[in-house]
Amino acid sequence: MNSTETPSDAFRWLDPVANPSLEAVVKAFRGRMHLDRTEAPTYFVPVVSPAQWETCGRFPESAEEFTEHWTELRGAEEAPLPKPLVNATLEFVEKGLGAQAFSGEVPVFTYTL
Amino acid sequence: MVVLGFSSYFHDSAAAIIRDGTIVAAAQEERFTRQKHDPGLPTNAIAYCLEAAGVSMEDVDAVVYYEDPVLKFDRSVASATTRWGVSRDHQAASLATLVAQKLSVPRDLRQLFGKLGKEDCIHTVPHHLSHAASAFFPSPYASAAILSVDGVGEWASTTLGHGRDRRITIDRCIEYPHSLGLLYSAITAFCGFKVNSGEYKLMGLAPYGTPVYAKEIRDRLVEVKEDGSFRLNMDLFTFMDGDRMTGEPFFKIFGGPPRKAETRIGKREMDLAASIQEVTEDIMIRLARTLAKDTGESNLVMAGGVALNCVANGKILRAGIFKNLWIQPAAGDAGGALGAALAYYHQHQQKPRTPRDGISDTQFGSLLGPSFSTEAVREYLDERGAPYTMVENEGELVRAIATEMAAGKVVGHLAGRMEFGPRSLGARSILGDPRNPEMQARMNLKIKFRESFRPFAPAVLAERCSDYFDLAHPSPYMLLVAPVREDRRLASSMDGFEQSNYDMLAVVNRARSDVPAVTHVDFSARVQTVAQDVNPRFHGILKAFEQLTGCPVCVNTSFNVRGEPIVCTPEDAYVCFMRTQMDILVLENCILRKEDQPPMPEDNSWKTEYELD
Repeated sequence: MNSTETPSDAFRWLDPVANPSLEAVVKAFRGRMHLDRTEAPTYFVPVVSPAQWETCGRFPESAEEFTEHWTELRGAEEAPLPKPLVNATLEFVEKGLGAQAFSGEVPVFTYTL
Repeated sequence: MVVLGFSSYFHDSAAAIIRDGTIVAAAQEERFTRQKHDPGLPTNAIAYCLEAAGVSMEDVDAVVYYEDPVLKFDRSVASATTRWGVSRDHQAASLATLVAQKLSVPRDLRQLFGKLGKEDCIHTVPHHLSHAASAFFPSPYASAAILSVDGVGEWASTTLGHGRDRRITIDRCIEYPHSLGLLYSAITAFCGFKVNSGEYKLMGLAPYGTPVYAKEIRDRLVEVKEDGSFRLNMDLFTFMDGDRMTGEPFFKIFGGPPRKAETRIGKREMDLAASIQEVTEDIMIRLARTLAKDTGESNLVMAGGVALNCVANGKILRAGIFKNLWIQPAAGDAGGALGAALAYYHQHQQKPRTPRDGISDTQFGSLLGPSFSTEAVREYLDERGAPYTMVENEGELVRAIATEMAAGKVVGHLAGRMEFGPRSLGARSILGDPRNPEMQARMNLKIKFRESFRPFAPAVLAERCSDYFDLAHPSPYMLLVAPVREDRRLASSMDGFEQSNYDMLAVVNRARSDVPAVTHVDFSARVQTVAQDVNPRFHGILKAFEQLTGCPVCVNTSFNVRGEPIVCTPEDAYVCFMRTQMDILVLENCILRKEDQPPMPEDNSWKTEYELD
C-alpha cells in the first residue's frame, strides 16, 4: 500500500460486485446477527458451545496464528467463509500498516466497536 | 499462583493482579496517563500491579487478556460482510485497526517487561466471562445468579449465568448488534453527551423529565420480550456503519436533529432521558426475573457497563426479586482486567475460592490502587514550598477535617490506596456539608466546572444509613440509588419548573430535604455506605462530623474537575486543589489551607487540557 492509499482503496477489490462469492456469506451473517426483524418467542440466542465460556484461549502472536485460530473457530459452519476478506485484512495489516503496527505505533482510524 | 489480568483497546484500560485468588492490586491506566478513559495498552497500570505484588513480569504464573481477539475479529468479519456495500471505509478501517492493535500487544508488552509470565504467552478469557467473573468471584456469596450487560464484547452484549463455588456457567445470551448498552449510548449521543462517559449524565438528567417517549422507544427502537430478551430495530441505528450511533430516520422520530454538545438542555432531552431510563429499568428487571427463575438463587451479582446504572440497580433491589445484590465496583471494561485474572485462576486452573459468609466481599472496599506515605507527601510539599499543618493523631485529624466541613468548607481528601473503578469512595474525594442548600451549585460550578443539574452523592455511616435513606442493604460502592426518607423531605422541588421554561437552575438549588446537597430533584440519592472496618479514615471523618453536627452524611464527589481522571498522586491532588475553589486539602496527615498557599502562576490553559466529557 502506498502512502496515499486509504483502507477503503486497499479493500476495494473485495467489493461484492467484483467478488460475488461474498454475497453468499452476507445472508448467513445477516442471520447470525438477526438483522432481519422476525418474530420469535425469545431473543436470547442459544449458548451453542458452553465450553467456549469455560476455557481460556491463547493470544495470537502472528497473522498466521490469527488466521489459524479464526479458522478453527469458524470451521465449516458457514461456508463459504469470507476468506478473501480475512486474507485482505491480514495482508493489509502486514504489508500496509506493518511498518507502523509492528513498530509500536498502532494506527487508530476510527472508533471501533 | 500469581495471575496478571489486563484490558485495553476499547475504553478504560486497566490491570489487576491476584495472588492465590486474593486481589493484590488493580488500577485504571487513565489515572497514570491523565487521559480520561485511556484505551491504550495499560503499561503504567501493569507496572504498578507488578510492583504492588513484588514480582517481575517473568515471575507471574499467567498473563491474561480480558477478551478473545479472534472471536472479536469473527464478529468484525460478520459486520464487514453484511455492511460492506454500505460502509466499506468504516468496515475496512475497523478490521485493520482491530487486527493491527491486537497483533502488536504481546510484542509491545515484551519490549517493556520481558518474558510474559512463566509460559511467555498471553491467555485470553471471553469478554463477558471476564465481567461475570469480576462480579461473582469477589462477591460475598458462595453461589449467585450473574447478570452482565454492556455495549458489546466479542459477540455477546448481555449474558445470564450462574456462579457456584469456583465455577461459572453462561446459560443465555443476547448478541451484537442487539445491545442495551448501545441503545442507551445512542440516546446519550442524541442528547448531546459523549458515548462511554455521558451515560451517567443522562441518568442524572432523567428525573427532570417525564417518560413520554418510552412507548415510542418500545414500539420502534427495541422490541422487548417478557423474559427481558430484546432486539433492536437496526433500520434506526447507524453504529454498524461508522462513528455515529443514529441517523435521519431516528432524528425524525424524536423531533429533529440531535442536541449539540454544551448547548441548552431542553425538555426533549429531559423527557428522552426519563424515557430511556424507564425502558432500561424495565429490561433489567425482566432479565433479573428470568435469572431468578432459571437459577433459583436469592443472590444476584452484576457487572458490565450497564451495571453502573445505579438507578436501575436500586429498582432491581427494591423489586424484591433477589434478597441480596452485589455489583462489581469497576463494572465496566476496567473490571474486565480483574475478572480475566480471576476467571483464569478459578475457572481454568480450577483453584477453589475461600469460603464466603454472605456478607463480606473480597474487593477490599475497591481500595486497590497506589498509596503514598505521609513522609512521601511531606517530601513533595516541602519541595514545592507548600505550607501545611501536620496532624499525627488520627482522632485529631478527622475532627479537624469534620470541623472545616461543618463550617461550610470544601475539602479535597487523599488518603490510603486509590479506588479501582469510576467512583471515588473516600480515598480520592472532595467532601462537603450536605445540609448546605448552596453546596450543590457551588461544587458543580466553582469546583468541578461541570453541568449545574448533576446531583452529588452522599456518603453515610453504614450504621446510620436507614435513618436517612430507604435502603436496608449495604451500598459500599455507591452503586445503588435509594429514596431519601419521606420524613426528611421538604415540599416538592419541581413546582414552577414548567413555568420557568424548564430551567434546571431554577429548581436545582431548592432545599428538598434536610440534606439538600445530596437529594436529587426526585428525592433520590446515590448512596455510599461507609463501614469502619473497610475504610476507617473515611468512617472516622463521618463519625466526627456526626458528633459535631448530628448529621452522619457528607457530600462525596470524585477528586477531579470535569474531563479530568480522578487524581492519583499528591501532586495531581495539589494541582487540582489550586486550580479550583476548594478551601482545604488533606494529603494523608497533612492539612493545607488555600489562603496559605503561594499563588500558582496565572495560567488558564489547563481549562482546555482536559477534553470535556
